[in-house]
Amino acid sequence: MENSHVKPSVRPKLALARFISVISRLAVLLIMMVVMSFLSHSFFTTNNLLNILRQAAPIFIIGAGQTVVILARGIDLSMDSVASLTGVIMATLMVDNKVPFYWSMLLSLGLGALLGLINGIIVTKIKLPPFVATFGTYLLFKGLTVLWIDGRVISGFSKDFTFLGAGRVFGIPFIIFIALLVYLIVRLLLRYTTFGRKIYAIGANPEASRVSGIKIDRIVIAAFVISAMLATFGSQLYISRINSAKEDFGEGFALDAIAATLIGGTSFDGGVGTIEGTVIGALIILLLRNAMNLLGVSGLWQGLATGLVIIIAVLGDTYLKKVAKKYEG
Amino acid sequence: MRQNPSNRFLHWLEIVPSIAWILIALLIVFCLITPHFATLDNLFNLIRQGAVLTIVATGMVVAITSGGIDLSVGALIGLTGTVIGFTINRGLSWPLAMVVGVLVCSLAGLISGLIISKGRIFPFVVTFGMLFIARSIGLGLSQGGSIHIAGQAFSMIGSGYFLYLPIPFWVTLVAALIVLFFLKRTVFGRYIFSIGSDANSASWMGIKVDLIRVLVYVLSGTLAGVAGVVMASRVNTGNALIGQGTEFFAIASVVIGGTPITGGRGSLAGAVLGSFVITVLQNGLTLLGLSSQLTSAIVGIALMLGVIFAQLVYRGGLRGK
Repeated sequence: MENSHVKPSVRPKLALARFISVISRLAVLLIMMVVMSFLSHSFFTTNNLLNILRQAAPIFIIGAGQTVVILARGIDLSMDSVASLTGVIMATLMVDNKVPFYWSMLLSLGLGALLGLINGIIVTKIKLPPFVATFGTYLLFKGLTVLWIDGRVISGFSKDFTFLGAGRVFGIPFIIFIALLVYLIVRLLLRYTTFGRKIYAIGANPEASRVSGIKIDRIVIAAFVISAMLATFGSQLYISRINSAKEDFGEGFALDAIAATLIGGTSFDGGVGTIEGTVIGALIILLLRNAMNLLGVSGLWQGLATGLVIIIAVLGDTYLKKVAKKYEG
Repeated sequence: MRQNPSNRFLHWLEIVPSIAWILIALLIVFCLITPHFATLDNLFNLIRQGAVLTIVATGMVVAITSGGIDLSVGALIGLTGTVIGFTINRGLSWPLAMVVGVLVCSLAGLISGLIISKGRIFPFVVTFGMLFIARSIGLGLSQGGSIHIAGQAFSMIGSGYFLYLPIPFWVTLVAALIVLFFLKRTVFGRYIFSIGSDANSASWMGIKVDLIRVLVYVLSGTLAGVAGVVMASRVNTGNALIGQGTEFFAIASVVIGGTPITGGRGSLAGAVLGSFVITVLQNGLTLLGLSSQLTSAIVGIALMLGVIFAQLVYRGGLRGK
């Protein structure tokens, strides 16, 4: 369609502000890496860098889902329990029922899509604010997870399955390639399809989008489905890496995903943000954790750093936008 | 609009929040089917268990009415306990340690409020960041575990009695009355409703929106600190993770109590009753002999339905404005 090639009309100074917002994050990432290389000898080693990428991969994957939803002015708090529920169901299918791993994964992805559909329908049809709706489904799915698994810890997965999260190809963790694939798909989706452009449009101005004929409900529901499926996929990779699943292993997924998205410069207001930003966001979170580990700072202080970075990143963006608006007059 | 203003009884029915009927129904059901539910011991137990959530909910209702939200309260509960443990173990007397614990939370609220109002950032984002920060400081102070709080005096707050009633009851009552006073009897309270329904108009009317916002988060943080004192004293330990998730139950209390999540209107009584419903549900199900996992599952599902129902009813659909 012709529409898909139309660039959103952005005022030049604001576009510059957005450019600076991405570049500044990249700069922060690079500066952190340079400083760390001086501070710790074990930082700039292939092993350590691959380790950072390996750990950042699942955070990026769930963060990508959160980014799509936040771009459309939503938020998905149910990720924790979506991840737990689909994860434990996949695990029981594999271990208890001996279903081949690919079928189990597909079934659980399908279930994830269904859970996302529920989120989307509650948000668009019952018209609950996304924050309340997904908090409600968070509790609901959490309850279902507990009922399903009843306190068990499931382990003993097949080698084929654990390869996804823990295996290496040419010495590089396989999960990095998977994350790269997810990145390419989401980038394609957001930038080169009408669906992606509509997500940005809805986030920027829902009313204008509605008037111009975009079927908002469908797009928002699709965003929630994508988010839930990526949460599911992230949980599958996570289970594959640690080779066990229990009822609460998904706790914290949503927080990490939201953190990566916000640090990556996606506006909580919707309509502004890039998937590249979320890649950088996930990397900054992991780089911070890694740096603190190497410098011997207790891991307990990691949250402090993450929280500060979130607030500083968002403050910086708001300031940039304000300055840009001022010069535009 | 009421058709018949002379009908006092109907009017009375109308002003009682719907959640009250649900609470009464729950109480009747549990009295009938649960052994040991309707005993004085269990009533006191309910009060002690519920105090933390109720106190936090009274702060949350203010934040939500002002058009904001405070996600950091759960982490602040944990932080209070660890600060108290940390300072008592370094020789501070317990009343002072308690004050320090609460003040730390007020300070956290102050910082959140300043960033929200001066930086023009969504309360959700700022308090979300504060959640990470507060939890992390708590974890750091307690070295990842929990700190045992030395001495018996401090634990009296959680387990002691005053005028034949558990002390947490009095703490909750005072907290709720203070919030009630603020909301109904001060300009501050009236302004909270104004900035919640339309911050721009409020600002044009000359209301100091920024100042009110800061005060809202200071209040919410302080109340989380008070709740943290009750919690720490009940278990006699400071644990950074102990309040995890309380923010969501507090939000649920507020929403099922009839306050729209979008702000501008708010019901303190509803929020308090909402928190009672959650506490009674948890307590009753546990007494029925259900496992804690199953209890939380059922509470989760019930809250989900409650939140959806409340939004449908109070959005003005079924009941009118």
